[in-house]
Amino acid sequence: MNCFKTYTHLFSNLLICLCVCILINSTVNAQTTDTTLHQLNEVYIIENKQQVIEASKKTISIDSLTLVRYNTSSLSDLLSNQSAIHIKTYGNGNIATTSMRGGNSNHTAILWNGLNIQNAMLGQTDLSIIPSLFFNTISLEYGGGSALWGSGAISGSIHLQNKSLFNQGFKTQLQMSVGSFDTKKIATNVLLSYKKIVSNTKIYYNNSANNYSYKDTTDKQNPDKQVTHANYNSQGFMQELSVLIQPYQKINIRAWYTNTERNLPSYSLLTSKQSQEDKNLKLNADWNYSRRKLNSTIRIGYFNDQLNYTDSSANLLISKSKIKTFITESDNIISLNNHTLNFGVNFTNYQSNLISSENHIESINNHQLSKLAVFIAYKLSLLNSKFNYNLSLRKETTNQTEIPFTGNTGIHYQLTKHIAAKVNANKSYRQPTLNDLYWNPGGNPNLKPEDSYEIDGGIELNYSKNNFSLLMEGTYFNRRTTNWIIWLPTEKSYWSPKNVAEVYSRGTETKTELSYFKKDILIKIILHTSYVLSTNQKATSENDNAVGRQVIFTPRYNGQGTLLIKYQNFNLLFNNNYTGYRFTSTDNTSWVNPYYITNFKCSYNYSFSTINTELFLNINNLFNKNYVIIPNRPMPLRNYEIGINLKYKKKKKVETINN
Amino acid sequence: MKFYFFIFITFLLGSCVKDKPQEPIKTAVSINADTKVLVVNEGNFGWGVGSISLYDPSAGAVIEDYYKQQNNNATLGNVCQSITKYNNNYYVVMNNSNKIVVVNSSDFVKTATINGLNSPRYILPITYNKAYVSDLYTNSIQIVDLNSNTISGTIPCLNGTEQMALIYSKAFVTCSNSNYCYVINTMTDVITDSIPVGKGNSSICIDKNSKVWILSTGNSTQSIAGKLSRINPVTLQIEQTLNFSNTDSPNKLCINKTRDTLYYLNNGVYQFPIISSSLPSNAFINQGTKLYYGLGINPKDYSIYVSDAIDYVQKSKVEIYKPNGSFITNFNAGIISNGFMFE
Repeated sequence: MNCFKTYTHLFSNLLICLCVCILINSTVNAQTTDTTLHQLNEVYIIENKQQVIEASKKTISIDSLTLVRYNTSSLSDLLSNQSAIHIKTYGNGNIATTSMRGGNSNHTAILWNGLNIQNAMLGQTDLSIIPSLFFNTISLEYGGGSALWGSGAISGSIHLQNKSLFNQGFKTQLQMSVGSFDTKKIATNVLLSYKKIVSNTKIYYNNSANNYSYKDTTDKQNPDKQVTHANYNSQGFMQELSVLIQPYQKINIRAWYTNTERNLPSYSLLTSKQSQEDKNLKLNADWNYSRRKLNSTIRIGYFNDQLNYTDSSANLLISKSKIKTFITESDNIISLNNHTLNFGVNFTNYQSNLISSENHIESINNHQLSKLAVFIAYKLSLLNSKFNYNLSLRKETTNQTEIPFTGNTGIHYQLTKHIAAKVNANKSYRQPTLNDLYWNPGGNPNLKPEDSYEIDGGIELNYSKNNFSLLMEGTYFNRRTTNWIIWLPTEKSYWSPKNVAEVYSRGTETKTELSYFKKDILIKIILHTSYVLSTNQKATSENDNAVGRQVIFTPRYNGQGTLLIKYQNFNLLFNNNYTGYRFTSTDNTSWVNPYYITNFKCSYNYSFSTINTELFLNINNLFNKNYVIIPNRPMPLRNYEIGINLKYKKKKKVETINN
Repeated sequence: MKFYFFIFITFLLGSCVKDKPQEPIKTAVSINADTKVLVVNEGNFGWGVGSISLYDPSAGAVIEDYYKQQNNNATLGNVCQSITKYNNNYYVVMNNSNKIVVVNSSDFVKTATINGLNSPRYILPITYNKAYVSDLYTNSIQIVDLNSNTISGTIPCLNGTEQMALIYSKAFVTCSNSNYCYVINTMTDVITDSIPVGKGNSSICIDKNSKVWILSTGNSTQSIAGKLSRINPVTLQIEQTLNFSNTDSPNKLCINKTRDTLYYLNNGVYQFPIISSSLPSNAFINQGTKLYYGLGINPKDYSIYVSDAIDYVQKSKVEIYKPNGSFITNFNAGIISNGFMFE
């Protein structure tokens, strides 16, 4: 019944908010102003392979109005608040990774403009060091997607995209904020957008003492404590350049650089002497040719990810890991009436370099891994696109192990005007990470890739009347993952990874979006829930009591509700999150308590001729809840952020859009 | 339309299964039981879940987190390394919480905390009010005043110090980072000697003939073989050295009540009579697919207690064997049980 409470809690909060906003609505007299709410109906052109199969899969795109409210946040803050996927965070500003559909962090692929940016050495990506403001669209694809994205897309994929819009003129923005725990953030965005060339520059700098207080529930005498040695400093830029060579030929070049320096807190009595520096350089260039029935893209990517960890507590421990990734991909789409065919090849090369030292005694490990993938996808649309069928296959080979065929097939069928059904099946895989294979000591070069078989299906309801629109989607999924790699202690003094576990994950997810839009007011309620059972199916040893138990750190319940209001120059976002119990032991005998967190964000805009000023206020953890996501890693109590965003826009003369 | 709504609501409600896990059932164990066994459970590193379990062999009952039960739900802290009884107190060494928790031996209620340590491993009482504390990361042994429960001094020593033993006013200190064990003159608190007992020496026992036995693990990744050494504490000479194969990782040396038989773990439980001149080739208790992590010999009935840490993220299974090696029973202790104290 506990979850009933949760739902009612969520609903009641949303209802209160709805009432409040109706009140505001009735007291303020309506004015007709030009809002940016009107959106042009985009002509649906299949231009990337995601669109070939996305109809049959569950995808969630972060609302653009929501995204702008998270301009000063990291991707981990955005996703933990705005999606029902679980983000494992080791404290404010500390390492954050995903858990989707009962999988691990290494089961979610992170794609930047279609290229997998997941660290092949660690198998996961720290979302806390990726700023949300770098991207134009952020979307989540649920379920396995190795047939499109290759290794790691077992439980889902996160898509980060930059989109260059031509002919927008000159726009610039300067955003500054101050917040609790001595946090200062500054960011700027310069857009030069002309008929044939677009340049977009985003620069940010964040600094925080991050010395937040918390309540230590295990210490009855002195519960009030403060996190120390957690300060961070982060800066970076994203530069995009797009050139329209001909109306049908385009080149995009993007450079991403971030540098984050953090001290890592220890929650024991002793002061921590651990620190971490992350340097990430990611370059991506693509050439797109789109004429008549052919849309052809060549993508290249070069990523250089460095992580330097130092612990000077006693023995000076230093670990410097560097991984270089080179990707070349040719991706072609041919559209013929009802048929769409996609095919291409991808070559990826990873070069890792790990220098670890203890008391100045150094050990160096260099490894490399190359992968060649051939992929093909087909989409058939019938009955005026009411019926869509897709099939995709991908075969990869590496210089390390044999990788199985991966595939995806699905159907999307519009049953009535308002109701659609979808069903999808896929076989996906995850390549062992370079650390799994070569870590010294313990790395196991004989590891096989993890395999997963998943089937999911859902019903989608889309209804709009007058100024209201309603979107509801219910999904069920069922997945079995075999050869799941876990690190186990060995008879030696070290641990070693083995393909021992078998995990059965299944559950339901819902997505509800209710919106009201009239003249200058927009009200939107977004609700996501997920219920995931993800259980171990195989004992690793004689006394193992983990069979049939939930995988650790995987919540069974997760719910998130957001109320968004845009009224004239006023914006409000009210967000509620619930995460259920997470077990901390594989036999499910110990756990961490659920948490229910509310966040509030609002902003107000006003314009002086060409300069638009936006003032914003964010209150996180509004009800001052004391909670942890990982045991012994407290999260901050109520905290504030206040800021200003200055926007300048020079309008171009009206010209015909040339794209 | 209604029909689809119905389906949708079913989806939503289908998600409703009780989420709250079941709290463990509390078993009443009489604290005054004749024989009681305290199990040291390290708990996962960083999570603050180190604990002490109490087992009553006569009733077969267990209190999984004895300290929590006796101390108003307070937790011990992070990584519980060892427990030592002295002066009607138990000294519980909390490695990663950098402290030693002192509890009353009659009711296990906390009476004091020794703070200011770095990475304490074991405590060795020397006199009525003086004890040594070994440390994993500090380049010294800490001297603790047991009256005030404060650090009163340090003895410079390489870090990585582990188990210690006291005989003839000499403290023998094992050191896992060194090829040597160290000898401290307990009158002057000065290291007087070092003895080459091999890489990774960390456990120590004293036999009935007052000889010191030190087990060094070696380092199987560097192909350094482990050793079992017998030392004469008077002359400080190594009288006997027995070499393991360089793929072995022997650890957790224990001795029985009559102090004539040694036991250790090496992918199984091994038994070694002190009069023997060679290491046993076969395990006394086979490990199978299990992962033996903690070992103890009950002085009351010579029974062998061995803990299976399984995957290190679930409750350990403690198995009890008869002195002849036949299985008696098992029980669940806390996460990562590394050792036992018998009363």
